Amino acid sequence: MRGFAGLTLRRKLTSISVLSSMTALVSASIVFLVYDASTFRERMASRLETEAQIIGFNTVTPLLFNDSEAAGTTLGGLQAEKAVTAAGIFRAGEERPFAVYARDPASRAALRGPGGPPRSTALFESDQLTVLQAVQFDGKAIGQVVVRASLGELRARQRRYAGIVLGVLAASFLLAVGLSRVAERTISGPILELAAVAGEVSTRKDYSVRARGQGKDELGTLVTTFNQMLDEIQARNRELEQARGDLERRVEARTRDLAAANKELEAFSYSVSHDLRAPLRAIDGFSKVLLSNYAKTLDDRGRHYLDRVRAATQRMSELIDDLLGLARVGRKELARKEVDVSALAARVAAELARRDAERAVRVEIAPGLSAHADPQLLTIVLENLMGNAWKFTGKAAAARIEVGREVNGTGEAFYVRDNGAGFDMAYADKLFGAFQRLHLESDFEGTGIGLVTVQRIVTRHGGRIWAEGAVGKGATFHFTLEPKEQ
Amino acid sequence: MLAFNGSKMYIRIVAALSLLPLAFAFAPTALPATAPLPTDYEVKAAFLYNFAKFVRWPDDDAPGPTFVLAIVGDDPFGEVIDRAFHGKTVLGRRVEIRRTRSVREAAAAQMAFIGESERGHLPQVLAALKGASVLTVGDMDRFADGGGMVGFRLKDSTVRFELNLRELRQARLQMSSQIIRLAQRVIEDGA
Repeated sequence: MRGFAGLTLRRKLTSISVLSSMTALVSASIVFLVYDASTFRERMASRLETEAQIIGFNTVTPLLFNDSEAAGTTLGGLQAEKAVTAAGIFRAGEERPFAVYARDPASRAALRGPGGPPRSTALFESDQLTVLQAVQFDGKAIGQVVVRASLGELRARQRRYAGIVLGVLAASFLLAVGLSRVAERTISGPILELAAVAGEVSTRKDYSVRARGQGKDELGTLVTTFNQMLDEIQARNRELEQARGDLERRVEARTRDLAAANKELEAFSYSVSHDLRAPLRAIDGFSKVLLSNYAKTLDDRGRHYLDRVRAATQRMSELIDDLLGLARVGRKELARKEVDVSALAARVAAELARRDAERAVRVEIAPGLSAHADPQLLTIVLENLMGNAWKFTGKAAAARIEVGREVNGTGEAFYVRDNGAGFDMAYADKLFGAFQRLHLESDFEGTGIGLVTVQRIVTRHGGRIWAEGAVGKGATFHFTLEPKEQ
Repeated sequence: MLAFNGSKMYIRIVAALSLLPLAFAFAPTALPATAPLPTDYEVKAAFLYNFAKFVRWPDDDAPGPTFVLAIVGDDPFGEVIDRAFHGKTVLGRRVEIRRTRSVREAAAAQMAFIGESERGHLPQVLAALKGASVLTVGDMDRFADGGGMVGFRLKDSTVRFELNLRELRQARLQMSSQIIRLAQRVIEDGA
């Protein structure tokens, strides 16, 4: 059986009212039944005691004159008492009756004198009532009247009353259930409606629904307050949505502005770089003419200065080339396709070896590397990273460069590793800044644009680049070419 | 007197013992006979006392020193009657039993038992008691018809009685209806 707590609200309300009315009715019925039974017994005892007294009075002379016939006649008056089954008159102390009245032989046989001195009392047994009355004469108890009555009538009455009570209980139960069903609706109705609306709100996230309900009681207030709460939530939601829309629009605008500014800046740096070339070419050309046609008129010091001018010019030209390359990388349309990274790395390594044939560098490239990327840009990435590795292993005893792919904490990434000069991890954040250099120009030449270009390419592919290393222990550059999986 | 008493006791014990098996045979559930069946005169003696208890005399309010029961003629009771009244009172007075043949003496009593010996001159005896408020009791046949008040008779070997209410009323004696209803026959006024 389920507990009371498991019942629905409606059943609880119905149960409470039915239970309380039934409890009241049952206790009232029990009191009534008990009271009626005791009253009935009292009345019956009192009536029979009176009868026994009258019989006792009328039995004095029959006893004295030994006239059991007259005594029997006196007892015969009990015929009017339906409950009396048997009655007898006994001489004091005798067990054999002096006179007997009985409805049937069995009752007659069951009748015995009570023995002992005559007394007057009423004795209730389970199914019968025995009334005793002493017969007095001349200050002595000369006889005993015994009247025995069946309590069948009481039992029948109790059964009848119990039947009536049960009937009334059943009828009241049905009535109480019906009435409380009707009455509980005034309480459960608004609450169930409220629960349904709350359920709809929480499952469908629909804050536009409203609970119906009137009334000036607490339930009415509850419904009203609940609806006010929904109003509030809806208003807040609208505000939030509006704010989000505003924010999105603002972000979009800013992004557009930023992109425009960036493009402008790129265009500017591209045109600057491009325009710087013309005067530089003039300086280069004229310094070359000066060195070939007027070499004899210049002394050694003059020629040395002229050489320095030409070297600086050369270096500036390289810088401009790199800047233009960086700008191009930013402007170029991304064209992804399947690229054999291993083969590409091998070609770059061969080119590096051809340009610097004096050095013996061991290059190990993992076989079967591939990527979905722009081949031209990926070439630039490998040229820069492997070129750097080649460059910074210049002073190492047994130079070694590794290209491969490995799994680390954040996923799978390509790497280019060398055993060259390395760098201090404290400056790792400066590696990818333009014109930032961690080494002296005299130790390792370079423009400081290479890693910036690499980072831009990786970023445009949606990937990420990072480096680790230590001074004198080589460096490793990791990069990915895909946006990180969700 | 003692010897007489003893022999009587002896007879009663013998009678009781001889009746014991009979008592058991006829009433197996009854108690053993604690007392022998009383003789007719024992019963009659007891009845005399009972009658006295249920009759009102006109001079109730002027009591003499004793309540006198006269036994007129031959005494059929013997000491049975003495025992029946022993230690008992009627109208709050001790009972005195006088055995007499004098009608005059009987007229001074409250109650008179007229024995079988008076059968021959019953009308004279009764006439002598007229107007004296004496309750007359007799055990001869047709005693009540003959002008007596209470007449014993045997019915199915039990002692019963007849009443002559006319005589009772003329003697200004009131008999309780409780007694009247037990009478075998009641001779009413004018009957």
